[in-house]
Amino acid sequence: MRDGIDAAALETVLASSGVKVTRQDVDAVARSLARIRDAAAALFPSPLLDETGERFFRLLEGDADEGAGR
Amino acid sequence: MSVSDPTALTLRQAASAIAQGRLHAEALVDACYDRVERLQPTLNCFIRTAPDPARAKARAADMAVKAGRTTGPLHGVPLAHKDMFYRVGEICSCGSKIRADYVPDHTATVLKRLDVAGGIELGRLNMAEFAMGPTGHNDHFGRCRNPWNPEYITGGSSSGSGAAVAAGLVFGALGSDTGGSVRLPAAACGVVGIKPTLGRVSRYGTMPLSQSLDCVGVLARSVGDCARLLSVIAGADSNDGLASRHTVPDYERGLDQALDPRSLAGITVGVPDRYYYEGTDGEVAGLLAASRAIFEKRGAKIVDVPVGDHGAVNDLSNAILWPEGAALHLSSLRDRAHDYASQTRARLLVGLGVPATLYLEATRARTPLLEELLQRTFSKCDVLQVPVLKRPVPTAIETDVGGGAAMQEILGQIVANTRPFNYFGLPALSVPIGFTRNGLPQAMQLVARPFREDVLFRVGAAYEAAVGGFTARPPL
Repeated sequence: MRDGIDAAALETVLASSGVKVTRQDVDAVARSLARIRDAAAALFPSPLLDETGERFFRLLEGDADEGAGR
Repeated sequence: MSVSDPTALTLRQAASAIAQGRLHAEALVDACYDRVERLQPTLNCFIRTAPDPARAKARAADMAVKAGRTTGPLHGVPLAHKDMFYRVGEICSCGSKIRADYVPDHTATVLKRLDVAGGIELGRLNMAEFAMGPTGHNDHFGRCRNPWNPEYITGGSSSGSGAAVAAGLVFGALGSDTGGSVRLPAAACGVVGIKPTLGRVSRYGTMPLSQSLDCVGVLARSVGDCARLLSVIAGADSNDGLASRHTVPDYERGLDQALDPRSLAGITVGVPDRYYYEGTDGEVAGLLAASRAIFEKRGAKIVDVPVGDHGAVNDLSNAILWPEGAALHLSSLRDRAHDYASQTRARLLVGLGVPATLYLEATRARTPLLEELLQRTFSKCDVLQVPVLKRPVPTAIETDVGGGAAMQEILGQIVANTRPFNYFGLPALSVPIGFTRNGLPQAMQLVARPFREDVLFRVGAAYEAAVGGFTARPPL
């Protein structure tokens, strides 16, 4: 385990991409993944079942449209 | 207006002088190339130059003026761009060994728009390899150096864009910004840089890194210059389905009012109550406080505003950036791994380890997190003000960390305040606010609601007018 990440499993995942990796690479990726995992835990308080990526772009455009009346 | 040293003019001043026949475009191009020739060994801004076509275009521009015709708002103005904007038939290296001989078969929409507006491209500028890296290091083309002191970083990834504009080699430059790559070099080199709203500018014909985060931006020596350049390149594009159809205003309109001593009456500037100022160097914090005092003098109201856990947002953006980047580079990572710099390769590998579900969660979470920011924060202010860098600009040696364990920590500090706004897709303007004791520039970052670049330019121009313009030049 490295920062709570199963390094052996991670190495298998990375190697399955066809990219050659070293143990040092795996450790570095594990550190980064641990930070991402912690961030996700802090920011995802509940499942987002109905949320889609498309709505983000609508929000950007929609906010600008509403801005005229603000 | 003196044209004794035409390279010291702003872009808008140069364009006016050419249009009025007081300055010849060819003479201006020659003056810029003279500086390039003199300063390239020190600064390493350019990857390649194209003097013959540039001079031919300049001569044509002069003839057009003589005949009473001008072609647009950039008529005869020398520009140069980060080497990742494609022009058909011309090499575009993307700052890499892998694409050292890459010749695109199409031209970027932004280049076409600059051409139509009359801009003259002098050459291609240095950059971080594949636009990955916030310092200006490049193992293949050599490090780009800061005009204020070559021992210091330029910021990146649009390193050549920041340094060339600051050094007076060109009047404006395109950059790209996926995590801060326009704002960081603008800040470190003492020029103005804008990352527009996601989708504001077409990305057709530009090297992709992360489709969800990439923005094309501009760097120039004044707020008005950036406003002009953005007015030229922004807008819908049938070649880019993700380019917004939202109307492009004339961003220069109203900037003359910046000279009014109460030009910011009715504007509220928000100072986030957490994250962005935490751990900020005292000297940097002092410069930011002084800039807020200027805002107040110009009639703005300053308020503290709440923000969410943007430190976590910063980390979470890696769950989008690196999988998207790794997918684009997968083939080369398999077959030409040794042709990447160690730092570039190490960062891309992170993308191979992010589970697909986490990538999608991070993507979907943008909507509620942006909603929260708009409702909780931007309901209380028109713009946010935060540091671009929390510390004085570092030296090249301090940031020369290769691909080892220290890399993520150091690079993470540099992009800590810029990356969240790529995640949110919001427009952000980097504006110079003075110098720290090491003689290097510092900058504030102004952030607005989606598609409110006009508000950023208004606030930035008011500050610029209040301090008498950004007239200091590097000691070159």
